[in-house]
Amino acid sequence: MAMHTVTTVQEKDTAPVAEPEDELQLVRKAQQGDLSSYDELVRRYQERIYATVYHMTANHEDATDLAQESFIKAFQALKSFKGDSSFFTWVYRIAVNKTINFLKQRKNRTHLSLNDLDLNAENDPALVALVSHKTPRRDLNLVELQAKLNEAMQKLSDDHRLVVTLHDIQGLSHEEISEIMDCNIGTVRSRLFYARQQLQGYLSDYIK
Amino acid sequence: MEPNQDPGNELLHLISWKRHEQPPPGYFNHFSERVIQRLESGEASGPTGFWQMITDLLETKPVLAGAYSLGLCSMLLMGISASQSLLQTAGGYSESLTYSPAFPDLILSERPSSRGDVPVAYHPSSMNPVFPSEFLRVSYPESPSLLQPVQFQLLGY
Repeated sequence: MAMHTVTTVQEKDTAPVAEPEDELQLVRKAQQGDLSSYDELVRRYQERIYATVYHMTANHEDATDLAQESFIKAFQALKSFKGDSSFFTWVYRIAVNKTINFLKQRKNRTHLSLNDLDLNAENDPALVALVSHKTPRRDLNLVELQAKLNEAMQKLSDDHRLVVTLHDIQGLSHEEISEIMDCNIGTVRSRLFYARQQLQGYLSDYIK
Repeated sequence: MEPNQDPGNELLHLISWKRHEQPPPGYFNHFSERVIQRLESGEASGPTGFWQMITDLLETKPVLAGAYSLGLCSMLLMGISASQSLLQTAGGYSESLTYSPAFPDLILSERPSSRGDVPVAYHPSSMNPVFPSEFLRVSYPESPSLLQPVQFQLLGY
């Protein structure tokens, strides 16, 4: 039932913080130039935007710059926001496009600058069991496995990594991802399937 | 394996482990402040007017960016095909023209040569207007002194 547990955590993490009307009101005020309203919007989505960019780049400093620039860009473009989609989806799209453009410029010059694992990682019994029983090297610690996982993620194409990040890490639905990536749901499912298949190959030493 | 088939809980569990990667404690306490500070320092102004609208649209709607580039490529191809058809038209027109040089070719053999020199054709043009001395000697053997040979000499050298 590990999958069920994961889904529950994802839903909890990504549940909307505020009512849509409230958010729309903040957006309208921010469109009039009210920075305090925009500050509230940034606070609501900063963690998810940062996390998305971080999992795409595997670099804390790059993620910081790109997340901040995404919010600045969103404010600059706020007047063009008509409310056809949620502000959350709209700002996600800006951050994703900015990150993809950055990765294209960076190409293969990947420099990992990983964040530390929180305390919950070491207390996750399933992960501890995975590390102690499934890895060929018993002395492989959590940090090493974290590096291997990130290296495997970086081997994926940008589109595949984005789908895995948004769905399997961030917990967004296929519909939300298709809206953010501006493609149909079938494409999202297909990319997710091939991305997982590749990851399974890259991490075959650590999973069954 | 179908796209909806379970890829394995262990893989999903391993991927979900990335959620435990967190920035330093307190990192988000000042994140929005830094964004607002950058906006207040003038970064919000950026490009204005038409270009801002275009770049905003292209950034938020990748489909528009694709359509824009497709339009540019189409215009380029149309330009190439139009220039090729113009070249063909111009080529047909030039073939119908008769060539009439600014100077008629001077065939030395048409003039009597007392010294029996081998006739040489000389083609004066705007790019090469100076008659060579050989041409003068052969063409005007009776009065070569009437024609002053061309000499270029700078004073003081």
